[in-house]
Parts: sequence; structure tokens; C-alpha cells
Amino acid sequence: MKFRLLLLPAAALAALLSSCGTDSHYVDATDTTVAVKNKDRMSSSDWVVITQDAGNALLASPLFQEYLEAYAMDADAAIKEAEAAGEKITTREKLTARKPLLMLSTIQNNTSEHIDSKLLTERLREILFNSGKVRFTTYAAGAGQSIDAATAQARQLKKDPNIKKRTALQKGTVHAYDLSLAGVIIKQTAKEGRSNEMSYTFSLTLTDNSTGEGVWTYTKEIKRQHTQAALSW
Amino acid sequence: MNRKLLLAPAAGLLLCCFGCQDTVNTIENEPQEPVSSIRDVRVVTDKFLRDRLIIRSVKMATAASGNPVAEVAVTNARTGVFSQAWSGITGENPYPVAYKFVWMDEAGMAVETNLSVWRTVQIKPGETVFFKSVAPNNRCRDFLLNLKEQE
Repeated sequence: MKFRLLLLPAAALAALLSSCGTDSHYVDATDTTVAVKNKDRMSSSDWVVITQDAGNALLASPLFQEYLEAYAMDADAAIKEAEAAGEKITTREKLTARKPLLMLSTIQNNTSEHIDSKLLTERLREILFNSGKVRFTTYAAGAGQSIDAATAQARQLKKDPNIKKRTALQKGTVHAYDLSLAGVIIKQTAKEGRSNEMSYTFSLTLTDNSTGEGVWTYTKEIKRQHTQAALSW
Repeated sequence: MNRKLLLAPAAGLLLCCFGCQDTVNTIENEPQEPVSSIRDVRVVTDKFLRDRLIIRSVKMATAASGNPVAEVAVTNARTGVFSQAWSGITGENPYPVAYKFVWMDEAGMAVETNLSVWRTVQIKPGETVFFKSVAPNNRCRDFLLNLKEQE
């Protein structure tokens, strides 16, 4: 009997302790429907949404496709010309020359928030690269984007006595980029009573750097509303 | 006399309900071609969603870029006095619906990309919306659209 009496508070204590525990679990980062959203600043799901919208627009753009087809024709002609002039074209170059080389340029942050635009640019670059439409460079990039210093450092190894001379990379072999992805992010807010509205406008452009002309442009506004509860602190 | 007294507020309530209806009417040209461009297979696990969200057409085409494009047109059928009153009470007017496209390659295997995400849309009663997705590459052959009511 006494044993049973002891069991009851023990069970209650166990239940209490388990309810006090914190829970941390993985969630699907691509599920914007359950994502926790900041009421006054950019959230992870906002980047997911704008990436999907811009990615869809980019992959379906007929004008961008026109540019890609013209680029491929020009590349074929340039390779023939170079070979006729006696220049040695590597197999790697022949395989990739028909696709333009993309550089991630600057995304201007016209908001008061600290925004890391790589959350958009790197995802868009991945979509474009995996679609087989472009190559990309990590040698050059705009402000705020990532550069891989290894390409430049690899040329310095030529001076290293431990490096086999034949494997050392030569100067003058890095490719210049053809396309650049740039843009601007603008934030607008509105407030009426307990209702708050926040919107981010993303304006993106792809520029053909040989002519300075845009080959794709996209503007999208993401808007979220938040109503403060009557009794909140 | 008593019956007349009861009828008056009942009629008022009915009028009020009809007056509260806020639905979307649509007009379009009569389709000259088949409404859907593909034969689809549907797996229904939520019969409420099936009845509330009418799938009007399922289309697949090839974009200028060579990538397949899918478009599914749906209409919020939660119209009428009682349906709208209920969706109003449950906070589902406009109707929140979540969707996600998944693209398959030649082997019928899912291609996971940043383009495959769950999104929410709010659909007004009677409104028709178009869920659209571009395949991540031109090797994709099929797609699958997941739909669910957003709580």
C-alpha cells in the first residue's frame, strides 16, 4: 500500500519534469507554411519564397533563352576562329564554351536590416548552374559575395620548390565572366492601429557584360501582415 | 401574430447571411482545346479538400528555354451561405491552401532543388488561382503536385 502511495507522486514528478524539458528537432527548411516568421524583419522563409519565384521566372524566360542561344552560336564561331589562328583549345574549353560564365555581382541592401544577400544569390546560381544553362566563376564577385582565393593562390605555387613544375598553373588561363547577377532589396512598412505590414521588393538583373545590356530583369514584392493581439506585452 | 413576429427576424437573418456573401465571379473565353493537356492520376486522402478546392485543369508544356512547365488551375468552391458562414467561423475565408511541386527525371525519380518548396496561397471564395512551376532542367519528364489545407 505504502509503495503504491509513493508511486503516485513519483509519476506526477516524472510527468512534470518531462513537460519542462525543451524540444529541439529538425524541420523541413523548404516548408514555408510552418516556418517561424519574424514580425518586423526578414525571415528564412522569405528567402526561400523569393528564390523559388525568381528561379521559376529565370528558367522560363524566353529573352534569356534567346541570349543563351546567341551566345552559343558566337562561342562556336570564336572557337573555330581561334583554332584557325593556331590557338590550342582544350577539350574542357570546347565542352563548356557554349555556356556563358556567370559572376555574382552586388545586391544593394536598401533596408535598415543586416541582410546577407548570399542567401538569394547562391541559391539562384545553383538553380542556373544545375539547369545546365550557365557556368559560374568564383574568381571574381561583387561586394558581399564570396570569392574563392584558391585560384589566385594556385598561381603562386609556381615559386614553391616542392611543386612539380608541370602541375603548376599558368598565368593567363582564368576566364573572364560574361554575365553578372545584380540587384537591390527595398523594404517598406505600414502601420494602422494594431495592424502592421512589411514588404520587401526584390529587383534583379542579369547583364551581358560584353555589351552592358540587361538580358533578364525581375521585380517581385513579398508582403507580410501582422496584427498585434489586443492584450500583449 | 406570434408566427409573424418570428418570421421577421428570421428573414432579416437570412438577408444578412446573403448580404455577407463575398465571392468572386469569373469570366473567360470558351476553351477551344481540351481543358487539361495531360491525363492525371489523383490520390485523395482529404475528401474535404477535394470538394472545397476544385481542380479545373492540369497542363504541361515546354517553355522557350526547353524546360517543362506545369500549371494547375484550381477554384475555391466554398461558396454559398452556409459554406461561407462556416469558413468564416473557422477563419478559413479566404481559404488557405498549401502546395508543393516535385519534378521527376527520366527515371521517374524526384529531383530535389530550391524550386521545390511548400507555399501557401489564400484563395477567395469562387476565385480561380493557377499553381505554376518550371522544371529545374530539361531532363525532367513528370511532375507531382501536393495539396493540403493550411491550418
